[in-house]
Amino acid sequence: MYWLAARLAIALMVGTVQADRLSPREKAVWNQVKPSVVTLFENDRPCGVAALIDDSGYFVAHSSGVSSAVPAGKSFGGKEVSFSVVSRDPLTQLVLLKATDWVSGTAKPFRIPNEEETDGGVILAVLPTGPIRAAYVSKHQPGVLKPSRRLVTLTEIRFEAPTQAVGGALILSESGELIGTLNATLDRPEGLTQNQTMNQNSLGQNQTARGPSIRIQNQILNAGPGEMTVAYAVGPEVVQHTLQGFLSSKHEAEYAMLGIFCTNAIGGGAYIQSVSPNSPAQKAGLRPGDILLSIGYNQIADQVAFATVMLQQKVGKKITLMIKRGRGSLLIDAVPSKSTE
Amino acid sequence: MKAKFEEKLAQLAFGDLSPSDAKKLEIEAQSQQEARETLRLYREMRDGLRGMAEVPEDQFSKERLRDAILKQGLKPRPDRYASNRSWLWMPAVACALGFGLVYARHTILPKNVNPQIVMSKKSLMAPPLLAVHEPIRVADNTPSPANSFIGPIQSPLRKTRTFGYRHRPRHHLEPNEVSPNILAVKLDGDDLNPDFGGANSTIPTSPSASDVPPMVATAASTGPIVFIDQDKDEQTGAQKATEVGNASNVLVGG
Repeated sequence: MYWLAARLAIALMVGTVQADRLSPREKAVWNQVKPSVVTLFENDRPCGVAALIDDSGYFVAHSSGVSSAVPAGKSFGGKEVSFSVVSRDPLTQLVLLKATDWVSGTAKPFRIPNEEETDGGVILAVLPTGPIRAAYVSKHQPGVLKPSRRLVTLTEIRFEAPTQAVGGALILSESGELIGTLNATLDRPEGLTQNQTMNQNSLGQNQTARGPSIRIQNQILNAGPGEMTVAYAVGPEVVQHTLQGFLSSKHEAEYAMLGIFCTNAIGGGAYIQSVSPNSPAQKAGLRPGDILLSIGYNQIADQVAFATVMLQQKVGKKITLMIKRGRGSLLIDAVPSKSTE
Repeated sequence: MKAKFEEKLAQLAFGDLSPSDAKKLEIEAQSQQEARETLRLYREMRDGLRGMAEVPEDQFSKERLRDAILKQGLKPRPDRYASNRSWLWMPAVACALGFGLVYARHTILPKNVNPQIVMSKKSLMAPPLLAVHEPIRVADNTPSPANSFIGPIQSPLRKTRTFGYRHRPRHHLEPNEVSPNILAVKLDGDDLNPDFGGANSTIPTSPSASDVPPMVATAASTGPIVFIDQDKDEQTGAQKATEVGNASNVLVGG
């Protein structure tokens, strides 16, 4: 107990220091949303954060902070909260938690922003120890989530790496809306610091930089007060879809799946590399080697377009696929099933 | 008949003989069938000549002079070299006909081509993957050998044609008409054609342009793509993300 109190005191102290680095506007936003955030503990150690998404006591958190079936937490106001795990979404790694003995009206639930975020803006990453400032780089970064290999758009953010873990942090917009949770950080090659990785990335985006300009750029980026971390969160559209599923009567997010794996086809379309056994695609008659040209009235330019269109489909709703097989083309009806990964 | 006798018959017909000679020759000609017929022809010729309008001698010369000056004299002189080069138009016409034939052959071809997505510069620069995309124009212009057998896919309800019937003039198909240009036939089950198996599979049918909403394009990704592994980064506690330069060969599930 003493150890828990000491840990919490340290965390709050670090959080206070971090909060002091925020601008007055960011502090105001943080103070406004603070009652809706709960720090999760595992073995008396802060391991994640949960955000209130419904007034009836439903919270959402990243799976990295929820290892037990009945996680416990403490709000930033000091109130202890116990949870039960309701649902897990393997795609976004989000977990739906239900707070026991939650009193309605205690805090205001978060909402997903509807308006387009401006690239390059400032956002808040809420760690178990408190918020830090982060730079919002883009929300159009395509990413493939393993092992399902589902393609989603990612929100790319960058921030000065703190000493503690950042995985599962809540990502809030400048106005305090929930964008998502921090899923991953860019892996750095052996022997390189995060800052050097950043430099490499910057040069990769600007291949014209050569010679002295590279050195100048390195000097500029190395002049910062700390290392920069490049992190990714699942895009707000997917997060919104997941939260809508969480708050539905089933309390689970559903993603339509055909059960095929595609690469880019030369000349346009998605080339089907493999078809999962007993999948909707196999039942419909799709075969490896087929080229998917359209889904409904959505033209498929490549495998990325295929994944994008599939994210918009609904489980159990028949779709018409136009495929090219050999020298002919044909239409095939298929009924997507619920993705299990 | 002797030529001299025929000449005298001509003189008789035109009145160039004396009355005594004329009377004598007249009697002689009447006794011969051939001479009588020849005299009749000469007299008809004489009557025809007399029936022609008489042109005064002076007027006749002035008309000819004026005509020569005003009409013939003002005409451009024919280039004597032009006639030597007149053969040049023949290969030119042959070339034009050949070009016209080739062009006509292409215009009657079914436009079985790869659709081209027309996107704005903005969408090419920053393709929003999950955004709602605007309907696109599908241009079908130039046949591509690589996918020339693909039917036009601006609408999935079009019948598929092949290039094997390129000489046939294009015509519109009735809704229930089965075209010989259709590569695949409607499939009711696996037993019809193993290559187009599946009870759910059909060829594109029922063209009805007014009922078909426009095709919507989804932006393709040509930039870098990020892989997110299940493994966690020990330092940050988050999943590991790695970046690859191009999404073209990335295997995507769905």
